[in-house]
Amino acid sequence: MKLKLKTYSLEFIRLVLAFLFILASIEKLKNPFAFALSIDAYRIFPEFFVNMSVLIIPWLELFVGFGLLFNYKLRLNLFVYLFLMVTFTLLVVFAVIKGLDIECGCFGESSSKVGLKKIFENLLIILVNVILIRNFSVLKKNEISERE
Amino acid sequence: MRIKFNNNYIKDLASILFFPIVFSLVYNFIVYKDFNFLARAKEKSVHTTQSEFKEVTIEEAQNYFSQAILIDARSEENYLQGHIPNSINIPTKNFDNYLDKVFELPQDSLLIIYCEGIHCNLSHLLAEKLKTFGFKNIWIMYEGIEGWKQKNLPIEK
Repeated sequence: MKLKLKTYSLEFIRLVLAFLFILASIEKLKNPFAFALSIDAYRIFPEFFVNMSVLIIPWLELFVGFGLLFNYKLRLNLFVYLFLMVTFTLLVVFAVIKGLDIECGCFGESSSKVGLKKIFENLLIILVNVILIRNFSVLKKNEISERE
Repeated sequence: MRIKFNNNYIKDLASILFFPIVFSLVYNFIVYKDFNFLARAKEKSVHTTQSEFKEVTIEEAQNYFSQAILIDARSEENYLQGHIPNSINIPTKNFDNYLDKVFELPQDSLLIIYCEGIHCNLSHLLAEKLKTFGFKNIWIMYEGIEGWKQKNLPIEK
């Protein structure tokens, strides 16, 4: 019973994380120009990098989101997710330290401002993500994998 | 054995990255033709902002500096770190505490407002507020302090 509860909650977290990324990517895809401006607003990236991020990040998020949703290559997708989240969080921390009054760009146009709240939100997501990675064996049995 | 594991891992990672990259290239090529998002976004934000206030470049604004009042809409902190010479600070977010300054402004004078740069909307918000106080000649210098710095113009601290 206890184990079942654990499995269900882990699966639930997996779905929440999946929808979060899918939602975020769709918001970004809807308006790549707004996304470009919000990355540029961090003022650390050269134009080429901004354009490349606008090009790749939403799609990467979308695919990782669907990977999580359909339990496909879960471990790797979780690591990519973690990598993206850590990068985003570091950016927000950087922006807060620098005292920038900008939107994070996390959800395209409907983003919230960078600030401590945003950092805590991100840390929570990272924490949950790490929990999933650590309890990977529980989720693994349902995973779709080509090699097995 | 170890090498094989690494290979598989790299292969897996490549397969995860492959589809997003291909999809993004194809999609963006079909929908947007080129990938100069930032340049186009900047162009767009300047030309399509639905603003009732006149938006001017730094050069345009400079021609009117002698007869206009220059207002910095950023926070006190940012203002103290460096602002355009002869500008006064009315922080949009702390507007209510600066009402005495607002009442000191001559009603018929030209107000040129700036904030951080093209990304910030503090100038527009301040302009809206000042409009309710009866000011009619309000311009926005949209390039902001960032554009000012890029042009190597003097900063006062």
